[in-house]
Amino acid sequence: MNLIYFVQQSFNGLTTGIIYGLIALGFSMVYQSLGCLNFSHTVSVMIGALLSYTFIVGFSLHVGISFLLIVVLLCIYGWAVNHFFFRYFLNMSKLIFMLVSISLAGVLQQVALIFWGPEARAVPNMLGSGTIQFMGALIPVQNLVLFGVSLLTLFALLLFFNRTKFGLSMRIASEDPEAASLMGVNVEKTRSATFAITAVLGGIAGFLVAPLYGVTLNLGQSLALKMFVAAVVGGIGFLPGALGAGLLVGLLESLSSAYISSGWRDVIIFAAGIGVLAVRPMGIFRKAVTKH
Amino acid sequence: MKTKSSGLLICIVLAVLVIAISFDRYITFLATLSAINAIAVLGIVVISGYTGQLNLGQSAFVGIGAYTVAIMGLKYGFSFWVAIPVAAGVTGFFGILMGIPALKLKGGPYLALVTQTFGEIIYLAIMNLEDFTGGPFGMLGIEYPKIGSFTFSGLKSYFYLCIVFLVICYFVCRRIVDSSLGLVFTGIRESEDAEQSIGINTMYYKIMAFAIAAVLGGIAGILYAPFIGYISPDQFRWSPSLLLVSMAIVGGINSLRGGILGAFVLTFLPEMLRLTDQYRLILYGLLVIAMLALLPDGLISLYGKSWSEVRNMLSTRIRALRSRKITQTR
Amino acid sequence: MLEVTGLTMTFGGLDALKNVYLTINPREIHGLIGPNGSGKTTLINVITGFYNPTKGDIKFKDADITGSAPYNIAKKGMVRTFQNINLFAEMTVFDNTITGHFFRVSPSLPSVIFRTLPYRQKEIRTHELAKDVLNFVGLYDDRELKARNLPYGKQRVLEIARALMTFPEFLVLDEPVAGMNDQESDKVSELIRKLRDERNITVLLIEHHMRFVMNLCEKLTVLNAGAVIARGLPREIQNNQEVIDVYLGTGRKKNVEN
Repeated sequence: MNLIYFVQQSFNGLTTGIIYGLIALGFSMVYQSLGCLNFSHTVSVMIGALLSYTFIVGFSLHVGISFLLIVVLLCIYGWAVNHFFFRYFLNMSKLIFMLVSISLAGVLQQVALIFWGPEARAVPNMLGSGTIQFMGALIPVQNLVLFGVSLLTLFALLLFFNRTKFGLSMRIASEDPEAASLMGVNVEKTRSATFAITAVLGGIAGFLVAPLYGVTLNLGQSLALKMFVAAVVGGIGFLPGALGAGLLVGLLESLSSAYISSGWRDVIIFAAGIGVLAVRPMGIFRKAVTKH
Repeated sequence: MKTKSSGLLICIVLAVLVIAISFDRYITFLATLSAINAIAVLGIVVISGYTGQLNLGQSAFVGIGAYTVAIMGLKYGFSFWVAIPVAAGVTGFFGILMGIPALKLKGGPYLALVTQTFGEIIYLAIMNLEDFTGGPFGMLGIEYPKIGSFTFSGLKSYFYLCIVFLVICYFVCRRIVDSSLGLVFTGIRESEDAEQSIGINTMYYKIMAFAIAAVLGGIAGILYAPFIGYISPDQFRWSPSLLLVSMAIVGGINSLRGGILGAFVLTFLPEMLRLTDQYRLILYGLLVIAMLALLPDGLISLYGKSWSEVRNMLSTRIRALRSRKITQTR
Repeated sequence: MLEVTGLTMTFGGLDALKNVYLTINPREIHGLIGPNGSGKTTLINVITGFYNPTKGDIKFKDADITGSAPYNIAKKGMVRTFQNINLFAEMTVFDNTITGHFFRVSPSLPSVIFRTLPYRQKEIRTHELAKDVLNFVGLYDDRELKARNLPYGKQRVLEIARALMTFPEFLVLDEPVAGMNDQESDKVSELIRKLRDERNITVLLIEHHMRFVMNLCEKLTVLNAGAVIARGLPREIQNNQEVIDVYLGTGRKKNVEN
C-alpha cells in the first residue's frame, strides 16, 4: 500500500513537474539569451489555457488542431510582445526590464479578464482516458500523454537549436550579439524568435495544464512563483537545470501534499528553494564558482 | 536635501489636504488610505531606493502589522497603543529574517525571488494558522484606537491620526537618510566592495535597512486594520506588494517625498478617473511602464525643474529608447 | 607589518598565485609589479580579504587575518583602493569622503534618529576631517560635484582621500596612477610620500607606470604567472635579467625612463 501510494504520488508530481519544467525552461531561456527576467512569461501559459478552452469547448475544434492553433498564435504573441514592446527596454537596466515585464503581465491579465470574464472554466481531458498499471499504481493515460507531448516538445527544441541554421544562429547571438551581427546574424530577429519560442513553450504548458487545473485568470500567477523558484534553483539561465528543478518542484509538491499537509505544501517548497539557494546560490545543477 | 525646505513644502501640502478633506467624505477616505500606503512606500524607498535591494514582499509586513493589532485587540484585549511597539518588534524581526537570505543571494533575480517567496510564505502561514488568525475568513471588527474617552472612529479624526503617523515616519526616515547612515545605505547600492574596503560591515546595515522597511510596513498595517475594519490574508499577497513598488516608482523610488507623492497619486488617480477594478490595474501597469520608460526617477524628479529642462530630460530618454542598438545586454 | 607566507590561490584548476611569500615593513613604500595577468590584483584581493586563499597565511601586525572579511581587515588598519575605480558614483565628492570615516564613528540607529548631541558632534568632526583631507589631496573645490562627473585622474585621488578618512596604517593601492600623465602621477607620488612621512602610513602599490614605480618605491616585488620571480631594491630589479626577459621577452636591457 505504502509503496504504491508513493509511486502514485510521485507520478502525479512528475506530471506537474514537467509542466513546471517547461515553463521554467522558457523563462530561463530568456535570461540566458538576454540576461533579462521576463515576469510576463506565465501570461503565455494563461493564454494557452484560455485558448484551449475557447477552441476545444467554445468552437469544438479537434484537439490536435487546437494545439496547432495555440502554437501559431502564441508564436505571434511572443513575437509581437517583443517587437512592439520589449525590445525598447532591452538596453535598460535589468531592474527596469523586470518591473516593466511585471507591469505588462498585470495589464495583459486584466485585458484577458475583460475578454474572457472572471469565471473559472473546465476543459475536458482530450489526451486520453483510462489508466495504466505500473508497479501496482494506477497511472492515468492523460498524464502519460502529457509527458509524451512535453518530451516531444523538448526534443523538437533540441533539434531546432542543434541542427537548424537559425537555431544555431540564435545560440551564437545569445553568446555574443556583437560578434554575431558582424557575422551576418540578424540579432533582432533572433531575439524576437527567443520570445516567440518561449511563448510557445508557455502556451503548450498552458494547453497541457488546462484539463488538470481548470482555467482561471490566476493560473499564471499561482504558477509564476513556483516556476521562478524552479528556474533559479536549477541555475538561472541553465536550461537543463530549469527542467530538472521543475520536476523536483513537482515531486516535492506532490509528496509534501500527500505526506505532510496540503496547506503547508507551498511553504515547504519555497522554504526549501531558498534553503537550497542559500547553500548553493548557483543552483543545484551547476558547478560551483570559487570566489569570496 | 535640507530638512528646512522639505518642511515648508510639507506644510503647504498638508494645508491643501486639510482644506480638501473638509469638502468631501470620499476625499477624506482616499487621503487616509494614501497616507497609510505612503508609510509603507517609505519603507520601499529606504530598502529598494537608497539601499538598492529590490523588495517585492512589502505588503507581507503590512499584513503582519495588521494582524498583530487585530489579534492583540480582538483576542487579548490590548489597546491599539500597546500593540504598536509589539507590532513594530514583530515586523522588525521578520524584516531581519527576510534580509538574511538576501545577504548571500545578491542581485536582481535572487532578491526578487527571496522577497516574493517570503511574502508568499507569510501569506500561507496566515492562511494556515487558522486558530490564531482566522485563516481565509480573516478577522472582523477591529476596534478604533482611543485616547482616554475619545475614539478615533470618525473619518476626519482617523485621517489626522494617520497624517500624524506619516509625518513622524517621514521625519524619522529623513533623519536616517540625510545622515552618514544614509550614505552607508546608498553605498551598499553603489558598491558593496568599496564599503567593505573602508571598514563597513555591509551585511549588518543591509539587514538594518530591511528591518526599517519592515517596521514601516508594519506601521502602515497597524493603521490599516482599524481603518478597514476587516482583514484577510488576500489583502496582503503579491498584488499589493506590487502596488506599493509601483507607487514608489511612479513617485520616485530614490526619494522619500517621491514615495509619498506616488502613494497619493496612485490612490487618488484611479478614483478620480472613476475606474473599475479591472481598468484600474491596467492603469497602474501602464503608468509604471510609462514612468520606467520616460522618468525612471519618478514624478518627483520634475520638481524644481523648468519646462526646458523637463523637455530635455524627456527627449534624451526617448532617444535612448529609440536607439535599440545591438549591445551585449548581459 | 605585513607577512604573507606560502600563499596559493587556485581558481577552478588554475593557479592564479603560487606559493607567494611577501614581507613588508612598517613605513615602507613597496611596489608590486609584473606583466598583465601575473596575479597582482589577485594577490591584493587575497591579502585584503576579498578572496579566501587556497593555501597559506597572511599576518597583519602580527595577527593572523587569513580568511577574515574585508571590512574586518579594513577595521584593523589595512585599506585598499581598486583597479577599476570603485567610488560611490552618485554621491558627491564630499559624501564619498565622509563615508570613509563612518566605521570609526559607527553611530547607533537611535542616535541617528534622535540626533543626540554626541552624534551631532561626531558628524561635525567628520565633516571637518573631510574638509582637511580634501584640502590635503587638492579636491576641496570639487567637493559638491558628483563623483561620476570627476575627471578620471581626480577620481583616483578621491578613492585615496576616502581611504585616508579611515585613518589607515597600511594602504594598498591598485594602480593609483593608471591613465595619468606625468604631471598628475608626480603629484600622486608626492602625496604618497607625504602620507608615509607625515602620517606613518605603510604603502603597498601595484603599478605599470615604471617611472612612477622606480622613483617612489623603496622595495619591489615582481610577479609573473602567479609566482614571485624577484624582490629587492628598484636598482637591482632594473638590472635583473629574468625580470627584463619577462617584460620584454628579449635579451635587451630595459629602458626605465619611459
